[in-house]
Amino acid sequence: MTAPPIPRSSTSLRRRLTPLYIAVFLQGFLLWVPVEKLFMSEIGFDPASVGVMAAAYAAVVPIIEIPSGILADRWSRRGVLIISSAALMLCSLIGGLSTNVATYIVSALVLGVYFAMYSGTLDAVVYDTVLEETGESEIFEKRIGRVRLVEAIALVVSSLLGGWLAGLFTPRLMYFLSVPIAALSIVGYLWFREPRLHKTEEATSLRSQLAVTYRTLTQRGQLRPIIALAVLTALVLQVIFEFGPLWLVALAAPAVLYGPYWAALISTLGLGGLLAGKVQLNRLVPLGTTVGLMILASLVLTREAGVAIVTIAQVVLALLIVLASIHVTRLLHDKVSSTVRSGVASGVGALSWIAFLPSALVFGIVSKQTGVQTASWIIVAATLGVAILFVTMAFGRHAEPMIEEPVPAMETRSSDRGHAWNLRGSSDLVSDLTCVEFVELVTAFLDGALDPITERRLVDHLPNCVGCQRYLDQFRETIQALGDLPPQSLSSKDREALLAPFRDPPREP
Amino acid sequence: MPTHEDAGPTVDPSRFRGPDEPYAGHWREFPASWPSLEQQMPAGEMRVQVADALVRLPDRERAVMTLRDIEGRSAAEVCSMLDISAREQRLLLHRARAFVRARLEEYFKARQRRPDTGEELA
Repeated sequence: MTAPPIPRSSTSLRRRLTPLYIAVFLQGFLLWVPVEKLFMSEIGFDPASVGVMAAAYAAVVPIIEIPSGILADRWSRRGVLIISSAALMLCSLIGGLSTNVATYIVSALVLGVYFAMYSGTLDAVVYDTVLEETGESEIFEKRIGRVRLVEAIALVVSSLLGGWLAGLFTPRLMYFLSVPIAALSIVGYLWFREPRLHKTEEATSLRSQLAVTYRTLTQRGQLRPIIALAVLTALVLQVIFEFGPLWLVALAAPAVLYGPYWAALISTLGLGGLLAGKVQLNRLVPLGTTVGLMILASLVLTREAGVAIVTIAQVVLALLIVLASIHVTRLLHDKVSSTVRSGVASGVGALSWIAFLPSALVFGIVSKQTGVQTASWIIVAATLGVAILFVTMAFGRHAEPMIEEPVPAMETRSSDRGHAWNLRGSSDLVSDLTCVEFVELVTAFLDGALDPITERRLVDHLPNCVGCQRYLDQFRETIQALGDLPPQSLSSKDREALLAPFRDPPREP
Repeated sequence: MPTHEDAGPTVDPSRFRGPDEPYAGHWREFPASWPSLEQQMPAGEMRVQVADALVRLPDRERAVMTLRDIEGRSAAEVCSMLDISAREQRLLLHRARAFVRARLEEYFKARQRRPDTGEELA
């Protein structure tokens, strides 16, 4: 007999995440964003210096991403998010006080601090909360989708409101109005109860954690395509959001169109979040459709077209890339342990910014000289990269056609009987690891001591098997409980006794 | 010199499907999920269980587990302290962890059957 599952997951998870949603909403409520380019031109920016500012911003983010991730893992994720709110307040304040290019760039750099503190940390905090509340990572995609939705609602509402208010008053006022809203988000974060999952291996030194993060990012072969995908999706999104309005400038679109255009583009973040749990990118048909549309939309941007077509192409492309990036985030998080998760997520974020920096400069220069249509071949190239990586990953994992009906883990959980094991594993040369094997490899896996092939088999097994997910989680909880034991102040005699079995010649029983 | 404690599976083989069954080698029945630690466990209860499991471990496993999981030393450190190979260290640690996890599992199972007591196990 198996005891019935404890019905705690759904409501208590939702209740616990509510303050987080509120804080995220308030942080995203930036009234100045829709009128930023307008304000910038008022204080002396030209299109070329916009590119330089984007590059400067991109330079500061990766510098702070890595320490922010490590701070989040070792100190407090909530604390890092609170710092991000403070940076946001400062950025809006400096921005509002700016009267020239130089001070505005300072404000952009502070915005970079906000972004670096916020980006990887939030994903990690949601993942660990989901895991802590439900014991499974299955619904992470849905929850992070919800977060993206909240972010998007905040952005859309503040875009429309900010555009309207800026018309009534001044763009500058929008910066000042955003300051107290960011301050309120700190209250939301203070109200949120931080998950303790990542504190499992607190005892490890900072140096060794750095080493693990570095090793995770560089040495684990199976992570490379995923990291590359995460970087490329972020790059495409970044370019669209930073330079997308240049199409409207090139088309001499009337100012009134900027608000709805920006709202539509921003809303893709939320729509992508909504769709994330529904479109199964590990299946052939949705994957093919997504990838095909993505490439098509990017190609449209290289052609001369009207405002409507350009907007649709940008929105479609952004939507599909958001969808892809949420899927990639999930893959990435499943493959790294909780203690280094936000470090790795931030590391990936840093790589994205490093990739964005030269892209921003080149994009700016090319679009100034030969037009945005030519520059957007950069977008096409990055989109093709996304498509190729997705397809090769799908085919690399599944030599056979993918199964049409993966068994949702939630369904089997209710009965706790049978096996959610996905059949596609059986035809796969690499990943047909059994649970019997899995349970013996957990310690080696947690120590990062597995050879890359075994590690990949293990990691590939995990998303399909609720039983092994639980076993791994319980193993981690066990280790955490051991770590919570009062540190033993062993007398030298007791220590001798402890180590004796290794010192003395074996004694006959 | 491998001793009896160094060999064999760490999870009862009967919990997995046999070689002739469909899904051979996979869970017959998933491990039951555990109550969320913060919410449902009186403080200190888990600690008592873990400490109890620890003293039941074979000496060598307890030594490795104490150094690794309680004192938080690295694998390399423990290997050199005890003068054992990385493989042996991992084996001992894994067996110890699997044992403690299994004890906790037993405990949670018993606790769920008597949901209101939760305090003491007869």
